[in-house]
Amino acid sequence: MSINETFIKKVFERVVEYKPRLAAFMDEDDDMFDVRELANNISKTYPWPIGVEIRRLLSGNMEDLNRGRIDQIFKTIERTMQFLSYVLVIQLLEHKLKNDLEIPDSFKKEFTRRFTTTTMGNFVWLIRSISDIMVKNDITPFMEEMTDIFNKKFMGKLDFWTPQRNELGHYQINLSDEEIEVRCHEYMDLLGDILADIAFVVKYPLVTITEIQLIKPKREDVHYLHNMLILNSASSSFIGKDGDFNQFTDTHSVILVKSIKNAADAFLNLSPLIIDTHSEKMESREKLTKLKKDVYLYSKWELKKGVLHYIGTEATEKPDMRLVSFYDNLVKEYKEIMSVFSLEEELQNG
Amino acid sequence: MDKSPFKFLDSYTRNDSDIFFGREKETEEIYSRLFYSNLMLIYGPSGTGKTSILQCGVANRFSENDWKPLFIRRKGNIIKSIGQELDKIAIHPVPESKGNVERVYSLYLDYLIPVYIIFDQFEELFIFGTQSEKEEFVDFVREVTKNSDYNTHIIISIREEYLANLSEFEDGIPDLFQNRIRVEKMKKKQALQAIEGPCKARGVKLEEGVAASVISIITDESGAIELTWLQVLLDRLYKKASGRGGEITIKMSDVEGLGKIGDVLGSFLEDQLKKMENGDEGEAVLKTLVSSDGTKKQLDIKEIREALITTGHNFDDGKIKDIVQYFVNVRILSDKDENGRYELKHDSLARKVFERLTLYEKELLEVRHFIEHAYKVFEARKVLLSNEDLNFIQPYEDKLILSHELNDFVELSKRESARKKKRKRVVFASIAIVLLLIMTAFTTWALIERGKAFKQQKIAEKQKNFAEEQKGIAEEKKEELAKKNIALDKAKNEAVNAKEIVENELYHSIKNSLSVAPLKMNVLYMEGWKNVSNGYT
Repeated sequence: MSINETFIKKVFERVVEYKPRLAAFMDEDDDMFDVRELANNISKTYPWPIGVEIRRLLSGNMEDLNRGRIDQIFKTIERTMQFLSYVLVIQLLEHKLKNDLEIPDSFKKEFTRRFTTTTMGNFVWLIRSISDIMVKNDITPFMEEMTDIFNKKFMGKLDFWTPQRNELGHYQINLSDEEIEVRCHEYMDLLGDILADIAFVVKYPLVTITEIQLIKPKREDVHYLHNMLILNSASSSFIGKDGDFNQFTDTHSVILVKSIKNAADAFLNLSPLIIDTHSEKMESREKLTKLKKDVYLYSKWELKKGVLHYIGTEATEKPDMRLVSFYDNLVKEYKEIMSVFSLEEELQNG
Repeated sequence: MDKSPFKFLDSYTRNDSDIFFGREKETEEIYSRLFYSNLMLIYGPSGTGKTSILQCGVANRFSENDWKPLFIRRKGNIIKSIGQELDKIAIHPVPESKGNVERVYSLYLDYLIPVYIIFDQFEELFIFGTQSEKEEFVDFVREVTKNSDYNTHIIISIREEYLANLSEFEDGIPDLFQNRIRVEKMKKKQALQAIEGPCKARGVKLEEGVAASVISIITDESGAIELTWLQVLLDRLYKKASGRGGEITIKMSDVEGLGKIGDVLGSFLEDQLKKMENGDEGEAVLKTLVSSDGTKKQLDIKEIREALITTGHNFDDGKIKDIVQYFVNVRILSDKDENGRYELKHDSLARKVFERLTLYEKELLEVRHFIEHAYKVFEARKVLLSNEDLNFIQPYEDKLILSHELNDFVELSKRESARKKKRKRVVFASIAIVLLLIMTAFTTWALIERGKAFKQQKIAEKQKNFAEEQKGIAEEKKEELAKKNIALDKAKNEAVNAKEIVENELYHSIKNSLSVAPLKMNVLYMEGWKNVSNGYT
């Protein structure tokens, strides 16, 4: 079995636990399955920011065990950590705003520095710290499986990556081809373990709310028609779906839901940390060329200019997010996060 | 290794990113628009570098993990070409029985990289394609773009003269025109970048004023640059500069040495033909490689030979190969593709070759193209030339020397047309006979009916006369009766009057009688008694 096949099989088996219908792709006789279909299904069931990196990692151009593959492994694990940490930050924020929750000063002291410039190490710190706060305060994570999975062992698996990245990512050492091959095997194995551990994320659809229409027929209750894009997809031509709910979610938002059918009942709005510009009108050439239609993840806050920066999941260049129509809201939401999780003096220091 | 910073008439590819300049804006817009939807339309005049923007500019905007391009030309048939191109890079071959949509999905699974199917020079489908081919193409695009699982984008690149033809696809592909961009001719500023950028990248020096002078030579009244001219000129200047050896510098004297530049491409073509031993033969070969629309056309050696026969040139394959190779060497033709087909380097060259055709040659070319097109339809759907088609061909038949297949096709069409005509005549005669018989029968029936009608008329007249007689008698009787009635009425009146008189008289007599009654009674009594006594006597 090739390095990819081992990885794919390991992850897919765990994905099937949460998406039993995918078992159809695995024949009882293990030799019979089409590994290509398994790879495709892994990439399209994980939330888009993670799934798209898995697709790249398993793509035909990554056949060779070289530096290119190592870079893509790092990118995949980094996006995975980024996604998980953002979900946790948002959930903690929501909980704090609705409940009487004491955020430890130790967390607040570190938060400003670690959140204004995101790195792999900071993502791990966020995951560990917020998980601790949630356990101590008996807060059930939105993705309930986190309670069991985010244990010491799992945190140890996450800790592995940052020193590796620092060592290799910054090209501090030159590796021979043989050493690169060994590392590729090791990294693919560990990445496979982590993705298998967090396979529960496939249970929670990631959805962009492009529009909400209020419907109020005569002498009937109001209901809300949601136009959604499903961000668990093989391609960025995301499938559009309508949802008619008695409650509403939030416009211009990327939300994590427990089920698409009842999206408005339980959702976590990941704005301003994960945003989608697919519904944005590109009415000017400047906007057209400087802002691609894509799903973006928050990357840093530029203090001097007071500007939010993002990285695209497909678009390779940095966007000028100030051009987006709801940018002011993003800044407001970002400042809210900072004010809740930072010490006053830390905020002032930047 | 060719260090030339210029591409002559070749398109730029992904590997040419270091010398690709002047199209940054268009590249960026196309790249952005590819995120809009999985279907995109690029159009513009010929020679604006659409293919280069896609093959080099856009291709380099993507990482290799996000861009699996397939550049597809129609060649003989667009559907077959799609299948061939997909099969060429497939890791897991798809059985022949499966369609192109399955092939696309399998290709995506093979690589897990978004597939970009780029239909280049798409106008060829409208110039050479059949209706069924177009319909199959529409089905393919619709199927591929509607399913996001295929992770496949379709890009159609077409010359703007043919843009309107695409509207016939709108029913099947409603979003066809929604995501589109027009690539315009380069302006001076862009052309300057296209000269200076590549030279800098490849260490070629330009004397001051060279770039501006070249641009002034090839700028038209509207300020637009003919890109093919620019490339041909720059290639010529580079060759001259590099021929001097040492550091390559293009000098102002090189530009001045170009002399008066009129039609750059036309002159280039003329020069290459003059260098041949027999330029007329070379020209004849080139003329087979243009369509009746003046666009380039792909042919293999056999097809070139057949096309040459049409224009009265009977060359053997060896001779044709030599001529073709010469044109490949002087970069007028692209080298043969995997199907052994040659074509002119650029549509701009095709236009120049087309301009060299005489009116009669153009007509012959059109007729030949017409027959070839009809033959493809015949192969696909067994539709022969119609009578009108044959009438269109007929004036050119003496000069039109066709291949066996085309000749057989025309003959078959003629036979079928003659058979149809004969069948029509038979049917017409049969109908006439039937009509005659019907008319005769109808006339006979009409005559019989007429006789019957006469008889009936006579009877009717007799009856009428009798009736009128009876009517006369009846009227007479009626008159008599009326008279009788009058008489009767009169008699009745008289009787009534008489009765009234009698009654009056009776009344008066009674009255009188009553007044003389006592006397009369006595008289009567006496008379009575007299009578009684007389009676007894």
